[in-house]
Amino acid sequence: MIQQLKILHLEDTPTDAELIARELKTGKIDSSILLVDNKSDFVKALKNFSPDIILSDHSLPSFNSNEALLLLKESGIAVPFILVTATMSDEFAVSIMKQGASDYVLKDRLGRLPSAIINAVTKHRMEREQQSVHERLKFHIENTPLGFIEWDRHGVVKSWSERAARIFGWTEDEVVTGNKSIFHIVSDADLPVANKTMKELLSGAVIRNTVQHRNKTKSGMIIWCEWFHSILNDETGNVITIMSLVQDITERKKIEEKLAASEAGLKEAQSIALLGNWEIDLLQNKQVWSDEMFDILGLNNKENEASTELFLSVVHPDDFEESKEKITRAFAGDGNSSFEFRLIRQNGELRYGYSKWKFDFDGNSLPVRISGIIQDITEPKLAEIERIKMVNELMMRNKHLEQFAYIVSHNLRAHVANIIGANSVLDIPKLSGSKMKMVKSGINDSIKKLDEVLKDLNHILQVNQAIAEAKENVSFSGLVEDIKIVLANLIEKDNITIKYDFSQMDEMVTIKSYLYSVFYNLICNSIKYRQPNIAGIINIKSQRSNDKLELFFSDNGLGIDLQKKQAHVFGLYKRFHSNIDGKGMGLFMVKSQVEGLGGKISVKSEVHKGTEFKIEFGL
Amino acid sequence: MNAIRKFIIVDDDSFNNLLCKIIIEDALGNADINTFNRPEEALGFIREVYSSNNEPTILFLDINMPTLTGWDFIEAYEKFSDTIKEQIRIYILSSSVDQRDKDKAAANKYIKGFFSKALENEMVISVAGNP
Repeated sequence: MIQQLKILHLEDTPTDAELIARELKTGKIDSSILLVDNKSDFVKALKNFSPDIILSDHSLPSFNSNEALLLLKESGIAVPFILVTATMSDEFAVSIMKQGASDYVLKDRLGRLPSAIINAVTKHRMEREQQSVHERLKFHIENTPLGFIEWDRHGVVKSWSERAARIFGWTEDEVVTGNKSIFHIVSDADLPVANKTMKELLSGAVIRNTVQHRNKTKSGMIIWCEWFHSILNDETGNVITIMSLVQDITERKKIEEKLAASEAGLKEAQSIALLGNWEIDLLQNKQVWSDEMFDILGLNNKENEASTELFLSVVHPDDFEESKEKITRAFAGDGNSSFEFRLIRQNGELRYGYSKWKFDFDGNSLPVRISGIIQDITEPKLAEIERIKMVNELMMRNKHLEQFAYIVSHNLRAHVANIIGANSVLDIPKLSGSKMKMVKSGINDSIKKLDEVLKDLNHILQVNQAIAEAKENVSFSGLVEDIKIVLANLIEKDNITIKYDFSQMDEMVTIKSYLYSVFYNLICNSIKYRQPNIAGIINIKSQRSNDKLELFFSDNGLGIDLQKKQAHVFGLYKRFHSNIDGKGMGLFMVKSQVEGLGGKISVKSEVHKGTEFKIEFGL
Repeated sequence: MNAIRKFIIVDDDSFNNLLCKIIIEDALGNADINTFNRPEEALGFIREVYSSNNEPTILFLDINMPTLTGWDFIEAYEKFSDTIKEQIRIYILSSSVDQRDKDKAAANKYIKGFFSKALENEMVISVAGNP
């Protein structure tokens, strides 16, 4: 409903004014009326009264409706203007309407006035609203980063927004009036792209499309733009217009390129370093792995989704429990940590990996995220394993060299020194015949022993040589039976019993001559160092566990005082019994040969109780 | 000063002991020499004889012996009374030319010197004095 109207009434006849006011009341127009009858009051009222509508008589003494309408226009105030007059020609009515009056009412037909006022005000308000909507729309269009362009099926631009002008540097006048083609602003390099997009639209295949390509500005600068085209057809399918929204995305493009370059760089760096990274969002329980991490684990990143279970599925079975525990403990609040693991890729390849991570916390010190890395450390790990192997081998060789030095220093030299000493003694003139004889026989013995040491040296050298001899399946019971035959005389003479139990394992693939020598030397030792007056018993047995074979040789012989001799048991030319002929070669050879076969030997012994040797081989 | 003429030789190699005996007698004219193949017996002899005697004696000791090494021997000897130790001068006589053995000998206050076999006339005189 129209609220109270402020009406400016220009009228010099008070009775007419009164008549009109009454008519308004009758027509239920709620209004306040300001009545003026001259030009100066009219101008003041326009300014101060801000009327909603103006009613004007045609002719006043020094003023008329034409002049009033002109003043209204000049003031810029947009309000409806209705002429209320006694008489009027049709020509005049047409002329005043052309000048901008909303309507006219004759004074003898005042009954029409209220509805004329309501119509004029309503129409005026609708116009105002429409204009406001249009202005707002225009404002929005000009203030979005999107340029608004309309063009026809030949590419000729029909509409060119202010923003479009700012993007491309061409004014609306230059483009629209100049009949410029839309292709005028496409960079030469991307003309094919723009052409293809246009053809797609005009063929009717699509009604809208989006495309990014390079454009050029008026100054010749190349810029990246994103275009949203849509096509408007009439009912018969003819193209009316193509409407395009365009945005300058040069900056975005630059950032995208930088980001892509830095991502590519990171990917490249990860690939070179064999280093992947992973992240767990603890709030959403989501995991993300880098491409390199998938590669390290030998997994396809398109077929698999990152998860702790997926990671554990490639961990080596022997490292599974430890890895799982490490991860579980980390989640349970163990915090930043790291571990090494082996993994088996789907193609069966064994690799070594290392993972390390740290927790990120929110403002309340609650963990929100774990960031971690995973590194393929196969190469350094293999190098380390190789190095350890080499160090062990070198230590072994060094030990042998020391043994050699020892032989040269003690055993070889002992006999040489004796021969030198004997040689000088033989020069003593007053040496008695009997002593002379003893010295000569001593020289003989020394020469024989010297020869034996040289043979021993040869023997040791052979063991130390690379094991070239072929391995074969060797039966333990077979070895013992063979040795029993060779030593039959001794066994009978000294009343020795040899028992064995190889039920757990009776054979292994090894070098037969070495294992024979080991068995032979240990059995011989047990016979040699038996306790006098006690029947000698030798027990040999094998024991098998998961990953190793153990051989036990035990006797009830003299035993060795290990508290004192532990360090020397397996030393070369070490002897512990002065009353029994031995040269300290046996156990040294046994140890060398066991180690040559990749095993370990250890000893337990108690004086006058017996000795037990244990040999261990990995399976 | 008179030359020392009492000797103890401890070495499991009997031929060496025989040679030492001949060389010492040749160097000093006459001497009282006790040789032992087993170090344990030598220790027993020293404890028995030298607890009451007062006779300077030179002891030539081998290192590499089966039941008791020269070093084990010294360890047992160290526990003897001063009366005994004041009478006996120990020299290592070994086939070893190993510097580690020489260093170990030099570090022990009961070992007066280290000789590499074979024993020579001049060595005897240098430790016993001129006859």
